[in-house]
Amino acid sequence: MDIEKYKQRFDQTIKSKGLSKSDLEELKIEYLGRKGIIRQLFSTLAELSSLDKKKYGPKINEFKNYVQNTIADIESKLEQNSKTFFDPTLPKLSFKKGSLHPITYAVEEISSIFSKIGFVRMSYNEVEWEYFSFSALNIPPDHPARDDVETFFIDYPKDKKLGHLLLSPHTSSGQVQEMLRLKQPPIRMINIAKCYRPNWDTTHTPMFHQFEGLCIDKGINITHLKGTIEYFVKHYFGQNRKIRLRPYDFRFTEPSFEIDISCAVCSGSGVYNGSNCRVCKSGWLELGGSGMVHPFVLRSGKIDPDVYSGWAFGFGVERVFLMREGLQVDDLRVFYSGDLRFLSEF
Amino acid sequence: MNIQLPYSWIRDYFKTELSAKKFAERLSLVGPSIEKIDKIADDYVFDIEITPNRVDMACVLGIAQEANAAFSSNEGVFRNPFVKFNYVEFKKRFANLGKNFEISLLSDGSSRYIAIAFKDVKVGSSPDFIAKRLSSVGVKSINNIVDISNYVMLELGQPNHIFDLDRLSGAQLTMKRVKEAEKITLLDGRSVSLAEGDLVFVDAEGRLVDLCGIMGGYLSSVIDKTKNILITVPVYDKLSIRKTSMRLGIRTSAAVLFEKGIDEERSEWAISLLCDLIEKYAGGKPASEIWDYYPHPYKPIEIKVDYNRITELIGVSLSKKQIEMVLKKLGFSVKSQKNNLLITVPFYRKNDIATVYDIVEEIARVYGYHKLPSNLSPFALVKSQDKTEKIFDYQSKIKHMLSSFGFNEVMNYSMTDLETIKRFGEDAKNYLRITVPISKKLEYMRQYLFPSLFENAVYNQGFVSEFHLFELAKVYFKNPLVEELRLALLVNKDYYYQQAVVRKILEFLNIYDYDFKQSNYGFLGYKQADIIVNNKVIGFCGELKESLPDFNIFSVAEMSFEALVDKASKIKAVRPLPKYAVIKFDLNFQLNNQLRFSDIKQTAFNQLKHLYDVKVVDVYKDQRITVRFYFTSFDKNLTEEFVKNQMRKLVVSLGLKDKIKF
Repeated sequence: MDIEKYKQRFDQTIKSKGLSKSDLEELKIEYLGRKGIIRQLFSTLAELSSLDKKKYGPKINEFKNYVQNTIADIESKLEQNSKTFFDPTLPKLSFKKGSLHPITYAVEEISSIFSKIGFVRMSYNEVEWEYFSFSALNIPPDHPARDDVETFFIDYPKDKKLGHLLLSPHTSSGQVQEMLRLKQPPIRMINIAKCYRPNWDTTHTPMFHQFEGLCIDKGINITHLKGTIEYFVKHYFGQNRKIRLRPYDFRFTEPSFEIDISCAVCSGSGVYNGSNCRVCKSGWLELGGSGMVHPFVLRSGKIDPDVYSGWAFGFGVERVFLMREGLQVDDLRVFYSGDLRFLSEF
Repeated sequence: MNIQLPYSWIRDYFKTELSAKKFAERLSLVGPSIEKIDKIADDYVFDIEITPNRVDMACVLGIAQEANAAFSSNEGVFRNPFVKFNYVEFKKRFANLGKNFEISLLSDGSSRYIAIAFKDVKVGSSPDFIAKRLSSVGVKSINNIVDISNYVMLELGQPNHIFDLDRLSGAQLTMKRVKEAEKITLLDGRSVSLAEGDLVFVDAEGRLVDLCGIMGGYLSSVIDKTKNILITVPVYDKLSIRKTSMRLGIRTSAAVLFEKGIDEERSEWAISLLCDLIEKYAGGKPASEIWDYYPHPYKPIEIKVDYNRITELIGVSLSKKQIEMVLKKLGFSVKSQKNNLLITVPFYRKNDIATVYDIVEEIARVYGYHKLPSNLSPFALVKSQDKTEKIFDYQSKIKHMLSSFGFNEVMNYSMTDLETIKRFGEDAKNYLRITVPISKKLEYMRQYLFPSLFENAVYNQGFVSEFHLFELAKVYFKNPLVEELRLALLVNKDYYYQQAVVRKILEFLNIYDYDFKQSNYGFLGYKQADIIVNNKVIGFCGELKESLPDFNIFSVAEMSFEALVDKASKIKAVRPLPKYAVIKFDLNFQLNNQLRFSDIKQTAFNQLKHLYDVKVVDVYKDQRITVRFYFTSFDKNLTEEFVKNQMRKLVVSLGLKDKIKF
């Protein structure tokens, strides 16, 4: 009698896989059914000697009980499982996902970086007088930036002293106003605001954001400008980024610098995967303009340039945001299109 | 502006063995930025960015002068052939040749004008080195005369023009400003329309022969059979040139140089080089004296700067000797006088050097910005404005609160269009308008934010099924001229949902003294209300009349953010916890215009004793409500009879004695 063989086969079936209810029904038929294995074993008993009958009879019974109990056990476990079954991964309910505009994140981070070193965030008008945007900043009346193709002017009566009304083309419009507000140094300002210029294409939007740093005090020199911008770059872009200053020309700073930061893609080498880096100009990316506050501008703010000196910079918020995130935005206009497919990513 | 120059040409003036790449890299850190290097045949061509204040270096000689400062004498040697040039001596050679032409100028049109006639020139092709250098920077070779003119401009940064003297009627050039529109045919054959104020030359017959500083005229141009020429080296009024060039869209190199403001002295070098090259490569012989109009000759500028102030502004200490050396390499001359330096500015820098700050720039950039240490600016306590800080603080808090509440922030342009203004029942007369808008869509400054949010819904309707939008931005008023920061919200839900959002915002700011009073905005349906805080209207909320095919309803709210922040407080006033049992009493009310929920609530709190809280627990058809009143005392347990009496008092006060009985 091969009871042992059947037992092994039964055990294997039980162990082999996660059995379902219908599997168990099949097993019952196979072993306990009318033509099942156990019946067959019993029927072979008739051919055996009485001695063997006594020997195998109980063993078959034992096997039968074993099969019955085991199946019953599994059945009850299955039943138990189906009562307490739950899938913790099923997202049955969801809270609506909100989002903040990417520029909001950038603005918050920039303010926080500068507030740590004692810079006060200020805000000035966006509809501004020509005087604060240009004249006070040493930009003469015939300067090309004062053309209506470079600046949005507002249809409004001209003021004798302040000139025309316009949309502030840069955050520098706040420089002299901050000097006049405080009346005398120390000045440590960070001014983050909307600016406007009449350009509208894939790389320009007629409205954009700038942040402006302004520091005026006794004994302020170029090394302070360099150090402060380096502090910002390392905190915003990462500790391993470097900066460099290149001579440039702005009306309201002297000396003026263009600030470059080392490219993250090619690690400042200008070479990526054996060819010229596509992201930067030979290892460097332009961050924006800066310089020592022009004595003319200090005088506009009623500050004596022989006693005090200062530095200023103005960078684009969209620009630093894209530069850090390495986002490939083919069309800058998407920021202000209100397209929720883009905005809800943030 | 950008100029292109071959490295080999620069090396005529600055002898060096440095590789083109090394030269470009180092020069960019000190002076002009070399943005690109192209290898052309056996030469390298630089694409150089010239800042507007340094038009003096937009030429071979200018770049070489900068290189002289940027590199040590071991690395290269600068040779300026004009250093010893003596203009007075140079002129003597032509002094007896008389004058065979007539030029008259306008004093507001030109500050210097040098001219000389040459005879017997042979027009032909240019020598190889000229043609090659011109073509490497993209200038087409025409003939030896025209090429020489271009060559001198690239080498010395001085635009100049050569006329066919025989084609100038009466050998005359008379400068005038165009009075009424007329046409001129330029030497490239195109005809352009001139406008009032444009600077031109006419000949004896009054024919237009030159569009000053931009391009020569066709009628007087050098042609194959030209024999006699008039070489001219002008300096024109920069504003006139810019205006005409911009209007016509003709941006020749000459125009771009002139409009930046060229000094009047380099023309002496230019005329000598022109004479030299015409004699050598066009076989010409001088036929006149050198005629020179120069009403206000240049007087060297001398500035006195305090040596200590220089090092103070740079932030590192440099010896007087180091400073002097840098300035000399740039062409300045320096005399030391105790603590001061007397600095004479070379003529080519007269337009950009005036103060100690300018001198600081020269010294610092040549010393090397990369060598300067980095220092944080010293910490200082600065007066800030509490109000401004509070606004920034709450901006951030409200934005994050709304976002975690499921709202999406949008930023829209601050400008709107006439159509939108009219659509929401406003009068554009009261709006600030851009004089020259770039698009009709962006013409007026917004006075409401919600129309932009509705536009956002229109834009997104195809791919968004639910709208929870907000924007925090300024609006701009004309009378009086003020800006106001606003918070606006839009949901595709009814009034009550929007009102709940508004209450949530108010209570988040710990504002509890608020009310809603039915209002009458034309763009909203009848379910609308002013939002009132401390008896002041700070905004509105309501259901928009406008909707979209797939969205039945939109509700908006718009509030003055400054008013919100003004009323906000950081910490809520904490009520003591009830000590004794709280007794609840429910009452049903039928609402009407005289009996609003806030009337019930206000009356209850004004009149009843030991009232702790009032809540709406059931609303039927927005009109029938069940209100639960909570009573408790801090000294003793209240009786049910006491509460009932209080409630009867309320019913009487509300004038509902006959309607509500219990």
